[in-house]
Amino acid sequence: MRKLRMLMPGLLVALGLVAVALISRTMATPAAATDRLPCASAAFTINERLPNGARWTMCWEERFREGVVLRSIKYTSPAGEAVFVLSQANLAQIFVPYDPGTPRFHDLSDYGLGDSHLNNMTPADCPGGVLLQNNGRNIICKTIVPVGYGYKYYDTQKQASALQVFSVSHIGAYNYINHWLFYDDGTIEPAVGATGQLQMCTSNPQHGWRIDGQQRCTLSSGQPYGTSHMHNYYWRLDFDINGISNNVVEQIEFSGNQTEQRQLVQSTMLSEQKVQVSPTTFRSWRVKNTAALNSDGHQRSYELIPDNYHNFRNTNEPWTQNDLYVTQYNPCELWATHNPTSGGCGDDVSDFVNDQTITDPVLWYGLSFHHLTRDEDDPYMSSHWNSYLLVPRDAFAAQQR
Amino acid sequence: MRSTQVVLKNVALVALGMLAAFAIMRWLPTDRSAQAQQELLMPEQAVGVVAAPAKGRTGTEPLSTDEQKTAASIALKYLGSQRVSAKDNPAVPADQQLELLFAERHEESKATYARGAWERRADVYLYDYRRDGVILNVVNLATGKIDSSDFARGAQPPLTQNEIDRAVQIVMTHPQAGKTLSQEFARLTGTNLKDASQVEVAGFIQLTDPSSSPLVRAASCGSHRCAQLLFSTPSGEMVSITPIVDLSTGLFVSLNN
Ligand SMILES: [Cu+2]
Repeated sequence: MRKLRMLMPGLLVALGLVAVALISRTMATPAAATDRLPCASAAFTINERLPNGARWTMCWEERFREGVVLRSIKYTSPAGEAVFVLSQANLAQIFVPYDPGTPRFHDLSDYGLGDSHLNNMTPADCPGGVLLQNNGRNIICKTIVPVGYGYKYYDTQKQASALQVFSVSHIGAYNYINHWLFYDDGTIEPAVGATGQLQMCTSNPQHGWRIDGQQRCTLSSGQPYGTSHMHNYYWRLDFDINGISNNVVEQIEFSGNQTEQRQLVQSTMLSEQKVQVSPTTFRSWRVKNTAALNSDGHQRSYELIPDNYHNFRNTNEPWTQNDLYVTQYNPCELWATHNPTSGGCGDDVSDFVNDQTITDPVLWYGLSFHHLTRDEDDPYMSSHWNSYLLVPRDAFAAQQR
Repeated sequence: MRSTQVVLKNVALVALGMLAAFAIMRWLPTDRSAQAQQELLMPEQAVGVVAAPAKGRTGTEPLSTDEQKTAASIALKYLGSQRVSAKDNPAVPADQQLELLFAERHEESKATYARGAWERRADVYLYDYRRDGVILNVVNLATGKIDSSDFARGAQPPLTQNEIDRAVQIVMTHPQAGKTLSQEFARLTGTNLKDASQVEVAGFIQLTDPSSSPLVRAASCGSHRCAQLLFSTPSGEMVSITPIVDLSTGLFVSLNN
């Protein structure tokens, strides 16, 4: 008896460890419609376990205008706790107006990112990864990449990794890299890389940068300037945190500009809204499930953290007046501009915002890059990257390591 | 029992517990369907590997080439059986009056996706130059029937190679634009432009927007099917014109807008 009592501490700790392990393995999220993947074959399923034990699961589809569309995006933590994040995520327009006023390209709707415009990649395009094909062409590269410190504290540290998924669309002289990083802690980083060759030259020094004696930029008369222009990227993000129901959009910012103190201001978007970024009030937005709580009792959510350093506004182009549009899901609202109107939908994303009550939110986020050309853009432009973050906020009760 | 012995035995028990917990975390699956999936990534490789193609298609998986062909032929057969009162468009060759644009998987509603199963359907897009509008046929690949057929004006899906070729011809045969293109081509390549196949070209749909030029507005681009062309030489030199043509009328619209 005495012997057993002396062994009690060790026995209790051992049993405790076993119990915790068993509970964490059996308490995975309850089944819902969003648990079923809408794809079956390995060719269209992305299902990757990262070195820390986390897992990202999703389907992909090639579409004529959107290029690559991702669906049913789900993150499963290293401990096996799954959170459904997005039913659908894709680029929803690339709007490229040139500074002289014309041309103004709407690449996605008017040229298409998909079909023959999607690059047929070779193994060299995808070091260490796997190329996924559709109809005989290698459309997607998926790979696990190191992303440096996940965290660091004294001598505690983690080398984090991410699942990288990308495709390349050839649009005129440009190559757009439609790029997604899915980090091992649940963060998502959508991005576009712009590379390829310069599209336009001008003799008007007001609308460009002098580029001399180069292949892409010679003119029959006058001195050549690489025409400056905008790349406006739009994403359509159909969030369904932990399923389609009970999703609510909230704006988060801090008042107190020009003063010592900062005060948190949260506001719920009950109906459709259009808003600008606000770097001085640190504005961001999150989609939360009011009925799905983490084990600390907090509502699970994902937060969109913008990263706009150029803002393009043109009164004549209403979709440029705001950076985030929050709309109620509508199957005929597909693209941020030049949207098909035959189904009764608006022509651009600003028309989609018409006071509907939001029960199933879709976020439309726009990110702009003013491309002032330079000598080094010739012969090939170094990839120029724009990205932003979708970060778990209380999706879990603790850091996912 | 001596105290050191007790400590050691306790430590041993904790270690056993950790081992059992580790085994549970490592081997007991959380998501059976997920872990049944093959692990495809091989990070040690310097270049990537190409995964096996899909055998059949289901769910939101894109249409196979065969499905695209089947859908297009069902749509064309259906349209052939329909009586259209519109006359041929004299600006368009006889075999391009009804231009097959493309076929892609029909996007079902979210409610349908939530049900978990649905029939494979295709959207087949055609441009009808006789009436200047898009015909969208929803083809049910499971039944082989047309679920719906709609005609709409104003929508302009991307151009086909046929249409881009025709747009290039309109530019080349236009007195001013053709001359400019030839001069530019000769300046950049040192050779004469004799045939459209000598130039690389990308063709974009041109619509009338609030910011469009008066020439584009006057041509009713959008109601008409207009193309903006970007030319380059085979070795990648850019031809500094961005001509717009009206494929519905066969007329040239503008050189540099
Ligand atoms: Cu650029």
